[in-house]
Amino acid sequence: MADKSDVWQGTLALMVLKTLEALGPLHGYGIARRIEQTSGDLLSVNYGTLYPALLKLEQEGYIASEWGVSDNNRKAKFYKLTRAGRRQVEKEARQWEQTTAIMLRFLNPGES
Amino acid sequence: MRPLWARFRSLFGRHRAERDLAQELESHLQLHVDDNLRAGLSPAEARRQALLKLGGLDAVKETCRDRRGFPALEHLVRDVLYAIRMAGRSPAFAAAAVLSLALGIGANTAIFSVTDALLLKSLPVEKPDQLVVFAGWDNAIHQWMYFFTYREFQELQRRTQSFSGLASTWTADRAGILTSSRVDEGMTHIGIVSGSYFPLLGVSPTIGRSFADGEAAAVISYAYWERRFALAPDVLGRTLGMNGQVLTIVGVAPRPFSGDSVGQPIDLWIPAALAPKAIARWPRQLATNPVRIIARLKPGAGAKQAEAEARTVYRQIAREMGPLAAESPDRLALLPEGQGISRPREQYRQSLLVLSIVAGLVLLIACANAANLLLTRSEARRQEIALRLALGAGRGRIARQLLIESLVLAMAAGAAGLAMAYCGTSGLAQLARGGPWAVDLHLSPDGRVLAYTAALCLLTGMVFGLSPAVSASRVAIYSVVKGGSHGPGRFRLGKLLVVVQVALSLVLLVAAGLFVGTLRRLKSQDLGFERQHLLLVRTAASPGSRKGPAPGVDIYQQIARIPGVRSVSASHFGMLTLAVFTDVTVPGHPSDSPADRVVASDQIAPHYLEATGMRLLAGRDLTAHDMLQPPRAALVNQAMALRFFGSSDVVGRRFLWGDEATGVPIEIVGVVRDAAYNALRQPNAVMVYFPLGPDWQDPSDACLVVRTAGDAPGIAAQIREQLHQIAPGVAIRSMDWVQAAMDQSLAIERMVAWIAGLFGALALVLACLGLYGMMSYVAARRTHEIGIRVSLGATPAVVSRMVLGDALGLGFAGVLIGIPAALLGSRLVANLLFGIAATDAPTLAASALLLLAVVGLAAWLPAWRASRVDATRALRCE
Repeated sequence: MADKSDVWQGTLALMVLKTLEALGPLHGYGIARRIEQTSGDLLSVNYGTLYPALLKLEQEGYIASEWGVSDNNRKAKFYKLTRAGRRQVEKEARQWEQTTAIMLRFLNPGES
Repeated sequence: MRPLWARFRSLFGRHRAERDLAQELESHLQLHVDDNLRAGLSPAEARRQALLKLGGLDAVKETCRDRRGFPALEHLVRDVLYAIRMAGRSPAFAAAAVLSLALGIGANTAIFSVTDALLLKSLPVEKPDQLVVFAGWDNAIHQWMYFFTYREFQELQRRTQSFSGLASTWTADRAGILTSSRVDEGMTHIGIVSGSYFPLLGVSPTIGRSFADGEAAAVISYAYWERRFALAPDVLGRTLGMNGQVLTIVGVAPRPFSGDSVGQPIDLWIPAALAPKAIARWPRQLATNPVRIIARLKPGAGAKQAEAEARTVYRQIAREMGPLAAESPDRLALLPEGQGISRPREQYRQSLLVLSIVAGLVLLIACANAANLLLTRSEARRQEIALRLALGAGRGRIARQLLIESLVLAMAAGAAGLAMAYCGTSGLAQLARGGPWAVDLHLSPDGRVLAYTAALCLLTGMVFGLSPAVSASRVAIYSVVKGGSHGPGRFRLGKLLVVVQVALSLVLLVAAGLFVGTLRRLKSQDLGFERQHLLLVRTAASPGSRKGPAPGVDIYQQIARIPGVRSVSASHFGMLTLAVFTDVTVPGHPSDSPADRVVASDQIAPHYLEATGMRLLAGRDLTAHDMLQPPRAALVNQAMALRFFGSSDVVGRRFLWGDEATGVPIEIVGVVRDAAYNALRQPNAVMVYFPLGPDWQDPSDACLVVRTAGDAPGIAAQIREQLHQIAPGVAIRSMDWVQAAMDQSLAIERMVAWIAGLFGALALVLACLGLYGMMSYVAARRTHEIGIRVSLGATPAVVSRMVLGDALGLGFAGVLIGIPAALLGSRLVANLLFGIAATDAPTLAASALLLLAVVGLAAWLPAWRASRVDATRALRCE
């Protein structure tokens, strides 16, 4: 457990949005798996924490949900990005890049 | 915004959302299990792993639940519903608490709605805080005077810069207004205003327009439109006949506006320039007409600076006009006018203030009562509270729950109290209406009153709920679970509350005693005249005709012929009305200040003393002979004789009517006994009676006094009939039996006495209930101890004496605190009292004894019950 950091609340939302942008409509389990895989199993998602985050994003109007059928014929609730969600992904991604760029400069003062 | 709306929306369809989430999580698990199975795990292990990874279904659900809706609000709703259920479970307790609080809240709301209407509300005009009224300080009578002359108004209007406008206003009451060829015999309240009046106040007529200066036009009030014209839409253009002058109705004022005089609604307004013609017996010259001057400060103009300018200008005007200036006020000031002027307000201010305090005390007592009930109940709920604490409820949560319970009770009481106040205010308005000045208030529970009541409820709930809530949340779990009995300190708070209740009740009882005593003394005092079977007939000249009786007709003899009439006379102003003052100069009497020379006066016809029953102490009455000459003789009362001459033996002495230079020499021909002529509270005001004058036979604009053999019901109608025959041009303004009029003039005193008495009784009942509840509870809790005492040989008498002694001890403590409080409080009302000292010992003693008797009575039943405790059963029940 020590090598796997807990998912940080704020970044989880961005990860969800980015996942939906990349893969299109996806159910909760799929999103959780995808986040786990993308992070190279470095981030171990406690799958349960995903659902309040999804509810919050839905309340904010960035994602919409709909019941559908999964690949292996299971009934599941699918989430997809709304138009506001797309804008939000761009905005947050940009902010995140800025933040990381600044952090990098602090961490490696000799380079650049 | 959006998440908030989503939360709000999710308040509905709550079950669907729950089901949805459950299904979603279930499908999540299925998908995970499928994957795990594919990875080769056994079905049981697959599910276990999936559950583990999800991390607790209920925790997820709970987190999502908090995201939906408004959890804090929902907890509140749940607490409120729980509180209502709890109240329903012990209806007797709830009813007692709600009732006692409702009485307190209702009393306060009722008093507040009257206070608000009379003392606090602004006039229904535009930006009332910009309005000021011109006032002059009159050194002679030490009062602000609000009257100027029309000429002064015009000059001020022309020369000042600090105001966006000035307007003049005055009122007159006249009978006999001609509307649609029908003579209106009742009194009409007429506003005499400048053309700038309505624009200045920002009041635009509901229909029609306002008038210009000098236009023969009138604006009527909404109420008058309703009353006289049944809201006829074609009222504009109709005419009013006033004193032979025809005025066209050009507008109707909006409904809430009834003039600048609160409590004395105006029926119609006419231009000031028309007043000399349209108002009977009005100063002929417009320039000398009396006016009150109101003005609107320019936005941003300082009141101080405006006042300075007004003073400078006024000084100039006074210098130029010389004698035309109204008695030059010694100091001019601008006073706020936003609330309008109100004679009733000045009259009622202190009474209402006292009643507000009294009502506040009642509410405090009710709070103490409710707190006590709550305390005893939370004792009974210790088991429940301890259980909830043991199950892990926080103490804050418990206190919050209990506080919400008391707030729910307070709100219920507020609703009930509002209903009570609604009935109460109409009664109050009824009591106030009969006052010396007709007070007509629109009392309806408006937003302000509702807000006041709501605030009162919250405050009440906090006050009476807080201490029981805190003390209940401190319950020690182990002691309850153990079932042990409580230490002696357990009832300390409850006993303290009872003592406070008794003390406050004493204050209220003393107040009630003082006010009732005042009313009784005012009613039964020796007035100096005979109040029984005395009729006052006030008259006015009718419009158009100003003719008195035919020459040679003695109206007094004509009326005296009516069977049942004993004697008839008349005076100019009559009794039981505002005193009319005049200046006198007594040679040789040092007059330090002008106020020293001001005396009340009236002008009387022959046989006035006989008709009114005033007693002549020395000299002779005024005769017809005195009437016909220029004034030379007068009667004075004892107070006048003593004040100016230092003895009652003044027949033949002289004084000047007026000042030293221009006064008319008058000889005192008789001395009469002091009488409460103008005001019941002034039974020995200094008074002079001058002869009525050469036209004393003309009964218009006078007050006829008719002494009858009894209150024969038909006699007033006969007198009216007779007067119409003798002098058809005379309108009767009012006919009042003195006894009835006196009762009416005591309206304020009666209102205060009634309410104080009512509240005193209420306080007594509440205190009694509180004590009874407390003692019953204490006695019940001490059953075990009493059982031991009885088994050790205590007789029933000893036991009941023990409980009674406890109660009386509390009563005595309350009385001991209450007496100084009452003495302190009665000082505030000293000047509302009459013929009874604020520290009246009998009142104090009687109140204390009554209270102790009630305390004893309240404790008697619990004491009796305690004395019948069966020792064996009491000991076994532990």
